[in-house]
Amino acid sequence: MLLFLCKRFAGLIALLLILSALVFFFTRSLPGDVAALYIGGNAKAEQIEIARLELGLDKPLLVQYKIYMKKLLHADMGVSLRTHRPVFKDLMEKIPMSFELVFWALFIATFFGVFTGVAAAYFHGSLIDDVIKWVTSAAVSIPIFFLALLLQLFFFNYLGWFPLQGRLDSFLEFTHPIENITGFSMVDTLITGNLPAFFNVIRHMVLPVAALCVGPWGIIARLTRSSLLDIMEQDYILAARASGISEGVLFFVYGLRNALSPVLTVIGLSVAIILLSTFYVEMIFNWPGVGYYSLAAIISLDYTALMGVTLMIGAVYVIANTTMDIVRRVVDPRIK
Amino acid sequence: MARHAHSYETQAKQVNREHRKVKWFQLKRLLRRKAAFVSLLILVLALMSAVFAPLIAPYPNQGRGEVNLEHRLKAPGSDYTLGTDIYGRDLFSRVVFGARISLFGGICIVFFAALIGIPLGLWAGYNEGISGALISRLVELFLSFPATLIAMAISILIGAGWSTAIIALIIPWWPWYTRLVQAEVLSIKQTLYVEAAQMLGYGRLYIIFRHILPNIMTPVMVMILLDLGPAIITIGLLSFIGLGTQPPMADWGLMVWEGAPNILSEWWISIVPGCAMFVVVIAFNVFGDALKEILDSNG
Repeated sequence: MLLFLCKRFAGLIALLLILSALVFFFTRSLPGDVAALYIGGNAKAEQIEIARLELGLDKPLLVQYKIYMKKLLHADMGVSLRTHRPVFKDLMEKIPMSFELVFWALFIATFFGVFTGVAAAYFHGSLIDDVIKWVTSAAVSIPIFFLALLLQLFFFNYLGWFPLQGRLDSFLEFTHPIENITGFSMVDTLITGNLPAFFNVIRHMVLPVAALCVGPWGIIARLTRSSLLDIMEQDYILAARASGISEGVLFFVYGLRNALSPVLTVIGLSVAIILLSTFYVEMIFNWPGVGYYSLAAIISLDYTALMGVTLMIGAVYVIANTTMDIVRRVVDPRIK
Repeated sequence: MARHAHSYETQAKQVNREHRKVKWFQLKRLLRRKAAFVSLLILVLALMSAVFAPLIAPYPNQGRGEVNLEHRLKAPGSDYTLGTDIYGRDLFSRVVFGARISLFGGICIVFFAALIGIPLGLWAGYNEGISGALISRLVELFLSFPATLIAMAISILIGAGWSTAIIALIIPWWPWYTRLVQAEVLSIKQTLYVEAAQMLGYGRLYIIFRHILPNIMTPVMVMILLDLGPAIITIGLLSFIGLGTQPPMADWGLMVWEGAPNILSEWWISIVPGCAMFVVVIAFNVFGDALKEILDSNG
């Protein structure tokens, strides 16, 4: 086990190094003069030269890479070309906002996904199974941006149950502004006792979270169902059944634990799916998080911010996968 | 004992493989399922409308992008069956022409990903030497990072456009095929008939293409079918944020984006292409699922 952990950890470090190298050489081969982008339009040639020196772009590529890696280890990702603020600071501000959405979406998708999958497998072949099959098929087939627009149209325009976009109603911004302590708006409003804002934030979060969790929910439910059905046909289940163990125990104790191992992998993958979906959801719901920031960086070719964002998403993906691998190992000792 | 169990397992696998070949009566059984039949019908319709777009679309020029400012933002009905967009273009024509870009794009991605991925997987699975190990490492490296993110990065690098979006998506897509094929080859390599062919002195390529490839085609076909939906969605995702098809071309994802600012008043601009995308993707998924189920069940 210790050896396995060491191996996974070494692999993780190697992947992160490769990721940072890829991101560096990728951004250096982007079209457009970085110094000119940094200084903005209508700059004189001398000014661009000065910016080039300032950014260290006159040095050889490998030297630049060395400097970049050194800075990266000190959590310095450079200055955003668009906001002219340190990218790391920008990200630190935006990450909690997105993390709130991602966390709830992942939690709901996992919890209800496993629950739905178990229900479908338990009532295998019945009407419930058919209905779940159709709904989950639809859930994995709907493009995220289309779903987000549909939710806005239906729940804001026709029903009026939830607000259209943003994080807080505009009049509450004046009467009950959110104090920035942890950056997580739900936590901040709760610990400052700012209850009107707390409930308002929750109402604003419902639609974005719903849009984010539908796809992963469908994937997890379908996988849980098929994995559970596979397991229930195994010989050891037959043996347990023959020894007179009740169907319920058989299903939930003997079957479910073994069926969840592939599901864990998919939960790891879902983190990346949800993170990339925030690009769309945050844009459509005007939520001031990392997704919105990334999209703005893509559109304005803000290469330092793009580097930071790519590094962050890549790192989260790699770390989530490794963690899930380790959890799988702990839960399922059969994996070698 | 262990050895015995092992050979029993390979035999069982062999028997199983016999059943996994697509047979004619299985296809018939597939079409007898209502859901599979309906989805196939939808797919054929979508494909036909992509091929015969100029004949089906009432305003083919608008489908190609010609603006028609006199009839901006018309609601569905009367002259324009599905309404018009902010430039007055007939949405029905746009959706029909969009099938050419989105559907054909999805097919291109999956086709080329399979074309690159399958031979590499065959090679890596059959040769466990340095070349095989190299391919495996490369596949692992690609699969360690999210495909959409890689595609976005490549699209930014080489400039947005329909064909560059396709290339940007093929690059992170092929490793999935390599991994699947490699795993299949590894298990099929131990079967008696491959060993027999090796003993008879047949060449590597002959064994790979004559004995191994036909026996792994079924899972590959299922994967191809089930990948088409996600491929169409991913092109839409790129187009939606401006990294894919550029206006005035009619890409379904791009059309949804064009309508997004007007979603609360002129909802049809986004909803019509969105529905087209949704229906085609769900048809691919349902058909692929049904095929998989029938192939997995014995006989």
